[in-house]
Amino acid sequence: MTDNKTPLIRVENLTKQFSTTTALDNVSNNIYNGEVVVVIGPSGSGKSTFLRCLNLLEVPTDGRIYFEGTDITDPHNNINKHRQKMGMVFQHFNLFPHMTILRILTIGPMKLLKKSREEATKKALELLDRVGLADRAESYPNQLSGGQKQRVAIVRALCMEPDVMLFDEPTSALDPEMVGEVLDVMKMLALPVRSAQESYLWRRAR
Amino acid sequence: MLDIIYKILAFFTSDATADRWFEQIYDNFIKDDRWTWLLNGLWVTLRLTFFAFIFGFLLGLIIAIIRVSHDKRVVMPRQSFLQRLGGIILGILNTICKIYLNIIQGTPTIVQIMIIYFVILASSTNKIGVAILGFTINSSAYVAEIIRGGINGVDQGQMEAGRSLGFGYIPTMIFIIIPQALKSALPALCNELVVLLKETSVASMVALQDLLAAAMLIRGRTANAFLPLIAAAIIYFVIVSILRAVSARLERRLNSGDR
Repeated sequence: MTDNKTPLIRVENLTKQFSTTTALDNVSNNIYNGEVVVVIGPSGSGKSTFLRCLNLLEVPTDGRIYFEGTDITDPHNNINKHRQKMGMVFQHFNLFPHMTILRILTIGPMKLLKKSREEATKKALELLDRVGLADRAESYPNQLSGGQKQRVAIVRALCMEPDVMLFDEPTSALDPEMVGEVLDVMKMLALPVRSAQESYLWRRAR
Repeated sequence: MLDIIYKILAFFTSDATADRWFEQIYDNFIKDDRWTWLLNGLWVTLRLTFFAFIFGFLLGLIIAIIRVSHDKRVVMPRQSFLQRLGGIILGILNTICKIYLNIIQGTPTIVQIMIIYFVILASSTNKIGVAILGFTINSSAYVAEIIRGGINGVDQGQMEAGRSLGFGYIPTMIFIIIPQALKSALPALCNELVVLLKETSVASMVALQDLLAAAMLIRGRTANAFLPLIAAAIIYFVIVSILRAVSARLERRLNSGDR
């Protein structure tokens, strides 16, 4: 849909102030379709805040964020529609403990994308199989290990067929031996699109 | 049936005592089919409890959602007219809910029931309807605080995960937050049901023929307070015990998914 010339996400003069600190100070950035962008920096430097601002989980104090050409900070635009196109994976997984894995994976596509149960289930099982968890569809999140939970969380985001995936420290809550399995899944996602790999060193953002 | 009662009594006591007890039991429960009064009273009590709890639960749920939504509302630096209007309406609703909760929790149940029965709806002839309304209002205040606690106990990440998928605030509440909140609030909700069942005995003060009123009616006829009141107490106790057992089972069932 978007060509590689116009940025998928355009950040203009993004500022985020918390009551006592300024987490982001006038950050501008372009992220293009197919790019794999890594944001690194010391803790407290605003990496998470930046990422969470991109889908407005954190409300910016000032600045604009354009996603696929629309200003999502404009209160007249329906942010829920845009969030469907931005998958997010959290540090602490945030799976829904009262649902089976299959339900977690299909509730979004069924309720939001209006897919039929069969269609959503088929897609979910296919993706679960790709991350090696096809046999856990009927399990509950608390029956899975940390690495398995995070792989399910990635699949949950993928089931919405997003245009961009946001990973907020997806391996930092995992035991060391489980980091590999999650990174493998992320590599598998990044492989077909690694047109340009970039890293931004995130100094204290002010 | 009568034979059996008599034989049991005679087995434990002398014939003379058995005769006296039997006579009292006969007077209080069997003569004029007085046991059916208790049964009808129990039916009124159960209906009253059931409807007051259901309506109180729904009203309490709405109040809890308004309170939580207001407290956790994120104010955008730039707002559309509708968002601004929504914020104002939510603020007004929240203030109303707070005042409502304060008044209901700050006055005795019996006073509330009497005010509704003798003042606000004095002209109504539907006694049980008025009582259901009174106990609904009373119960909703307590249920609201229980559910609010449950919602606040759900991890913040759950709301973020729901919103990040593209669910709006209300669908996230309905599909993701409320089910988890109700599960953790279940023991407290069951306790509220038990409290409500016992508290409906207050309805006998406004001439509603509930279980306690039936017992008092029998007492009025037989001038014997002991047997009818003990009978009412036993019936309350049995119903409460059943509710407790059911809620304990339900809790175990729901918790089994956690392991």
